[in-house]
Amino acid sequence: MGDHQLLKLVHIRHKAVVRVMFVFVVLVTLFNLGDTLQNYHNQQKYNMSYAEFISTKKQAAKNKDDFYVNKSYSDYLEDQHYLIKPMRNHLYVPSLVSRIVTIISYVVPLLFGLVLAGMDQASSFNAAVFKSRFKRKQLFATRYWYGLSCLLGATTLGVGITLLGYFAGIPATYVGISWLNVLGLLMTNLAVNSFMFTAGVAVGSIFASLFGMFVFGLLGGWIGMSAVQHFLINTVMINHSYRLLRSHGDQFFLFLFVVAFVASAAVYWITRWLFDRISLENEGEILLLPKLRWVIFVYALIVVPYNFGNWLFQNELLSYSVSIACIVALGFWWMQRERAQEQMAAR
Amino acid sequence: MSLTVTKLQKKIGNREVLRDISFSLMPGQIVGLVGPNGIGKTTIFRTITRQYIPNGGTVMLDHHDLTKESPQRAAIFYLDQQHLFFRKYALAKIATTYALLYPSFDQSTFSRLIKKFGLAGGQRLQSLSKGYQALVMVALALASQAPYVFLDEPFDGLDVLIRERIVNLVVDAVADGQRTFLIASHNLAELDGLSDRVLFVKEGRISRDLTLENVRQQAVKLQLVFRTKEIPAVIKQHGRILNIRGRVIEVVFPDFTPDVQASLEAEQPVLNESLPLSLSDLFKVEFRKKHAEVG
Repeated sequence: MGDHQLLKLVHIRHKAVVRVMFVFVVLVTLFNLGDTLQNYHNQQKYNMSYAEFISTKKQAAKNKDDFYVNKSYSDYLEDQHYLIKPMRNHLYVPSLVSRIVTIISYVVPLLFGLVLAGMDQASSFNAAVFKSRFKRKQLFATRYWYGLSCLLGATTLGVGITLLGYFAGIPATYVGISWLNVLGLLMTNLAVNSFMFTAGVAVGSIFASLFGMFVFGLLGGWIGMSAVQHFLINTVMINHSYRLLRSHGDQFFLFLFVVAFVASAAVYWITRWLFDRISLENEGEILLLPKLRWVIFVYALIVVPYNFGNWLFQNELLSYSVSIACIVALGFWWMQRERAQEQMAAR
Repeated sequence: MSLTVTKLQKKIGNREVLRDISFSLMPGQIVGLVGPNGIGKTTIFRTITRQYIPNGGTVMLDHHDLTKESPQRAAIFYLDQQHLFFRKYALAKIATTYALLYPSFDQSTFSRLIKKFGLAGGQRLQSLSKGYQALVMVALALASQAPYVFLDEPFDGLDVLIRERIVNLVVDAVADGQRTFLIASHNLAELDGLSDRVLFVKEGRISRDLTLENVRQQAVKLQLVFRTKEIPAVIKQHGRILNIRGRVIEVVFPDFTPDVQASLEAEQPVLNESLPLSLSDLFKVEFRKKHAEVG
């Protein structure tokens, strides 16, 4: 974790942001919990009648939906009492995870990581620490682990409040969650937070201004993720071995868990290595490490056309050409802008 | 404990801002770092303190190279006016923060100084006037107990009274011979009576390293009037004209040898009066082109 004085310094510096994050996570948790409980109790009031059940069952059979196959009306009524359909021996329970790990669970760690790293850069806190006795790696690591611990603390508290809320608001027999399910949920929370927080820290550490972080970093990251998703859907997900792995529920989950950790660790080490080489004459610009602009340029040339595909008149050639032309134009603008700044950089 | 900068280089974009910065500082000095705006004084400070990663050269504090990761960097205190992350902090919180950054930071010294300035620990830095902010910066520098303190244009835009308070604080701090101040300024008049040594920065190098006492032994500033309006060859060759008013010429001879004196007397000036040589005069001599228009 590094020097305890540096930890204290990081704590003083980020106390307010951490508090805001904590309050936000707890509020979102309570809102989510209230919504879930309300929906559950509404659902108990509006069960289908026997006639409606039979009609729905027939309709489902016509649509080749096997959900109601081998299910009697009493089974249906029993199922309706459950918040989560019991899957006691499973680590990963999609219906439980999707109730708690929502889109906000992805956004909060990303923004929190970005704000922690970005505000230290934008406010010149990094500059002050670079001049002091502390090593840059020490600052990076201390801030990272401090932020991640606070984040995991807040989100784990959120998970805890939600689970307690379920048991308080719903008869315990019908909550349908086992300890193994909770372990899977906590592992998901850990993986999501680690990866998204690390990505946020990377964007906040490499970009030189809030403008660069949000416009280039977040937008670029989003386009990149979307391109990866496209790639997975078009290639990996139609692959036979992938489908086979996916059918092994918990094994697949463990595989994704390991992938998330490997990716987080890789991004962490690369960002720390880059942070160690930052020279602050580029602050206020787009990138703190201008040499990286070629990497970003190539990245944009790959992900933007691929992600947007045939967006223009459904014509691939036209769409790819316009996308590439836009990236090249943006690249020129970037270089011209930096050249003008260079003239003023020396003081 | 000596600080030696050797062949320090820094390139920003394609521009070589620092080409070969070499100098050394010993304890107990007040040294001026002088050059026009935009010459790279701040870049020197930032490169020495590793905000900017140098392209070459070393900064040695005794046997420790400060251009690499080094806990010895706490021996240098440099507050960059453009890099103040604590503008919104209360003064007491700034002190707490700096106590964590600098192990030898003395909070009682800081409290004593701000009390002396009539300030309270609860006041926020951004709520203070420019002059008081400058005093707080100096208080931080003194409380850091760092043996080397870099001040960048510390008197810029300050009134005479605040300037005098800062000068007194700096002089008091150096009195025990343990601390050294390197003060960057584009205005030599500000350093007059404060610095005993001046480093001139020109074209990415330390072009001159002058000890004021030595300079005053070698150089003279004269006010001369000749019978004709024509400027004698000895002045053109050996002198640097600061000012011409009618037939009155103010000139500095950087190296006033007996030969130069004899050549000058041979021109039989109507008026030949010695004037006190200031740092501002030396600045003009160093940075004004030799045959630049004066008047």
